Amino acid sequence: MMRKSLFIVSLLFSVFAKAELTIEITQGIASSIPISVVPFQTVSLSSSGAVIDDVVRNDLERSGHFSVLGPKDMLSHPHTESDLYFRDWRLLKQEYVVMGVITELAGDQYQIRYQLFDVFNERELLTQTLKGTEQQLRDVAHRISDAIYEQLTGIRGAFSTKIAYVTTNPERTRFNLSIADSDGAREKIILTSKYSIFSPAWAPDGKRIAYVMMEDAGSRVYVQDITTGKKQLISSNRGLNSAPAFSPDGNKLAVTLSKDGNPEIYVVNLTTRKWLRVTDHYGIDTEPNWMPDGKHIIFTSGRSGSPQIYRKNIETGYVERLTFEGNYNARARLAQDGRFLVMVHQSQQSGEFHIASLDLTRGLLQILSSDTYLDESPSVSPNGVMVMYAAKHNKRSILAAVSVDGDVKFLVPSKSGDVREPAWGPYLN
Amino acid sequence: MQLHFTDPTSFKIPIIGSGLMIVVLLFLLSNQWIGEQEQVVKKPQHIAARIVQLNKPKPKTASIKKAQKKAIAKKTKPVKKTTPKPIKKVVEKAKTVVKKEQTPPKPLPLPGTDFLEALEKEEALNATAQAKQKEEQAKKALEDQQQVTDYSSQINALIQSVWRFPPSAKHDEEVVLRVYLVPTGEVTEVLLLQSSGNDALDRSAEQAVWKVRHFPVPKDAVLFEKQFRQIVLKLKPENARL
Repeated sequence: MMRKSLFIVSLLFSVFAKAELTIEITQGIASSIPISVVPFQTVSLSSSGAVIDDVVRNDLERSGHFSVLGPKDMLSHPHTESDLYFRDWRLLKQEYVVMGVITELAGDQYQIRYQLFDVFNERELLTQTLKGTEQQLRDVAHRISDAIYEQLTGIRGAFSTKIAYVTTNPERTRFNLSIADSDGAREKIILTSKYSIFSPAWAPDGKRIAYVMMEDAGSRVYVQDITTGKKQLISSNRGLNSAPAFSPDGNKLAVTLSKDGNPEIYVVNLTTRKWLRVTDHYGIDTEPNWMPDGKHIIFTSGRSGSPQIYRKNIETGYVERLTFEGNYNARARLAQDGRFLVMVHQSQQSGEFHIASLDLTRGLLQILSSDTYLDESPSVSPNGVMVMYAAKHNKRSILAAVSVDGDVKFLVPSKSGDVREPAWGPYLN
Repeated sequence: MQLHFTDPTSFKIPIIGSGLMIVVLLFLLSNQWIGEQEQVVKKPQHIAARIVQLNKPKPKTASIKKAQKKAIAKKTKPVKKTTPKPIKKVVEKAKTVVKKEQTPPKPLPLPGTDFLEALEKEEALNATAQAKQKEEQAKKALEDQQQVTDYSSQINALIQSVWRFPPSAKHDEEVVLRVYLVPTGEVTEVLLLQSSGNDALDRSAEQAVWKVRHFPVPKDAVLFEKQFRQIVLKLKPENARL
């Protein structure tokens, strides 16, 4: 006995003599990061200048990955490194501090310099100097948010991106296709029509939008140049022309046509206008969406009796069913490099329609939107973090957003009438 | 002249031969003598050392330690087999013997048999002391080990409670840091030994160490130097969503 224990002890010591004491930590906290964005110093008096830090705070807060400290709760409002005392921010349990200075240059130009500090490591992580006119200050603010977001989360920021959506007046006699900042600000109408507009879809370059218009003669698929407003008729086949989706290279458009009797998915080359039939089944096949590889298309099909999501390889023709949980899964979009499927899912318990995410690696289905009703047409931000969708709220159709992990939910403000069919735009630049 | 060598009557060959032999013998003898002298010198030194041991029973002198080591090397089995009770008795006896030896001012004549007995007793004494020391060492080692485990789990819990990994963290990523501490447990330096490839995750790990700032460390200075002066932390966000 004695000998054995001695042996074990000596063995332990010999092991320790070789290796350093190693402690393994396998659990952490996945909650939002505390950050303080100090109100920026405006050297010259300008009402619009003060807006920048507000926009940054809103962006970061809305992303769900940050909890932002209000300026009133700060102990001081430093603008330079010499006024920054890390100890004070540690007391406030802040992990990062952003401060900045706005200066007015000649000819309506502003210069914005900001710095991001790590409170616990006590070092500067990021500093940038940006320039812009008064109208561009919001763009500057979103770019600052993007840079901070990417630096701290390791995920590219999508605050500078745009969203497209369809609005209707309460009488439902006017339909507008609008584009706005991802936070809903600076709305711009790019198309007004007496016909209803559906399914806007962005081209990967962010310069064109495809949509469906219900004209008197039937549905039509158009592609419109955003800057010039010029629209191009793509499909006016007999029957249904719907659900356009650009291929990742932007050269092809997948659409649903019912010219052969029941809805099938086709792909049209936008330059040669050559058509290719993708699906051939007596069940309904619709709502195509491309995988990032440009070879696979995911779509909704009723071939098993209820709507479910399938994936088809357009080169080999191989079809695979992706969803099995629930009697209704439709309008799927991909998030985070195709790892997650975001779709409309009918809850088995309540029978309500909600947005759900399906982790294709682990096979886990999660209902993301449980506090809105009749949720429809989810659209995923280009960084795969947020989902924007339409929902019914106070008898109106509004836009709502939820993070793919289900942690953050917010409603996008709208003035009046219905807002529907959101489409989150790609990264610009 | 040349005939002198081949001439059988010449005495030169035997003279040279015997001369050489004498030289060789002398050389060999002188060598042997030196070797013998060394051995002779060593023996009294050994004996002297043992006498000193008898007079000074404190087990802390270097000579005793050496002797103990030799004794252990030779007699490991019997020492460990002895149960604690007989050891104590032997120790008591040995102590009394030592005391008796100390009380008379003149050293005992020590006849051959007595000397052997004393030697055996002394060896037994040394062996028991050695066993005791070993036992203590083992006990200390176990205590140290317990402390290392205790403080490690405390550090683990502290870091876990403050480590906020970024949303981009993947469950199979790993950051390895080396943390340098001072005896108060305060962090003086954090070194990134192995990056996860995700800068945001690396930074969150470093930040977690600085958030803790004071690590719980043992008060025992030797143990601190051995185990806690610098420690390696492996951080894996196994509860990450991705």
